[in-house]
Amino acid sequence: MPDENVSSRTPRDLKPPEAPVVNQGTPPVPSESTGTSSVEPAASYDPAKDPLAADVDPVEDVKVKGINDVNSISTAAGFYDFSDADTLNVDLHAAQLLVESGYAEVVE
Amino acid sequence: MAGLRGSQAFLVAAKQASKGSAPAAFTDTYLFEGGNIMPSRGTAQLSETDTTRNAGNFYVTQTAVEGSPEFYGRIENVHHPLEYALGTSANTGSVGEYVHTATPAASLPYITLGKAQGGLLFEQYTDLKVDSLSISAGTASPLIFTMGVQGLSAKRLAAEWTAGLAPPATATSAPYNFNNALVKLGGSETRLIENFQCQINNNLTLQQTDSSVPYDVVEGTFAVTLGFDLIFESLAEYNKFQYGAEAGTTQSESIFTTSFSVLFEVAAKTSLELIFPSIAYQEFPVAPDPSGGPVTVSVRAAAQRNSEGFIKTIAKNAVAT
Repeated sequence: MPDENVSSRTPRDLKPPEAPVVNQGTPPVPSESTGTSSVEPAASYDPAKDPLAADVDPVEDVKVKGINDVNSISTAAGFYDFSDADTLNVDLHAAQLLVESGYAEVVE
Repeated sequence: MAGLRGSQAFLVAAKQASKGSAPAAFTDTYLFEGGNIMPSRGTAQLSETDTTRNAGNFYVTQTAVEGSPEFYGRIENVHHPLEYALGTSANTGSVGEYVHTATPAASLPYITLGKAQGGLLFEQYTDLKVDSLSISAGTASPLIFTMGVQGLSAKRLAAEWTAGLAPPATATSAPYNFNNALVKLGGSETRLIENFQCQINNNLTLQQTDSSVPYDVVEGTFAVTLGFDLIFESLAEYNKFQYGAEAGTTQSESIFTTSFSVLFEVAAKTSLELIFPSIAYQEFPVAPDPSGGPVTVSVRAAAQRNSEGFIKTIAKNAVAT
């Protein structure tokens, strides 16, 4: 016999039953036990010393050059013209696509 | 006012730099051999009672774009559909002989297509990706591309594209034809293949969130399948499929793989080659025929994982990119 509680389950039923309803029509406030939005950086937090925050510019951070006499490579990440330059600076996603294609390699 | 002629229609295409960005110019104009592309409109029906017996009203669930335009594969513009369907194109060579090598990539480009019909209907479809690309050529027949696309939005224009977006000149060369084909099976030329069809599948998913316009269109599992009719003149390929080797006599439990390529060449510097480094036969039916006709086998195969990718295409023409 089918379990009615399972078959009739809806997203509403999946809400934590004890979640406080602050005000109908506004998004529920995450409780402290499950939410992470209330976690603040320590007072001494210095973004410049955070190894994760100190990432280089994500737009131009990989240098690649075309191989096999490639003039240009067209990928989902954009069009890269090697005919006028030995190397190009591209973002990580583009570098991955270019290298995967076998027509460009990472220089540094 | 006279009715619109169905034959007065064309398709323009361009790759987008990213999702949501409009192209500065179209790169190709294709003529329909068949198929269509249109805004898609999903509806559903309310399920509720009434004071009468009347069925519920309808409402719109999704507005998007889908279609499968078909067009002939011509020298000047075969490389772009292949890039759209596979993801990456490397351009080499120089004036007089440019070479476009398309290979599968993790991400597909967004493309913009535009359809003009009857000098009256002009629609531009944005943020499309290629869901499937069928490349086929029947015996003595032209090469046909069927490009199944899915995308996010359409807009109707009051007039034809002008200025930077003016439709490029239509390619005038004769389409590639299977009579120009050189087919290789297992690395050696075979004259036994009558036709072929290749299907590139990206298995796209439209992701809808809080709007009738989908949020995005995302690539799924990549697969390439192949079919061709083979004149049954030799037991060689049949034996490899069933018995594991050309001289095999006991059923093999190993999958047999081979390579396949088809080269359409009208001149040394104008050609299209489709290369399948590793395929495995799925079906190899050899059947009696009461009518007494010669036996041809409708072979079905699927690309197998290998270091060179499922498929590589090489188009040579006079177009730089």
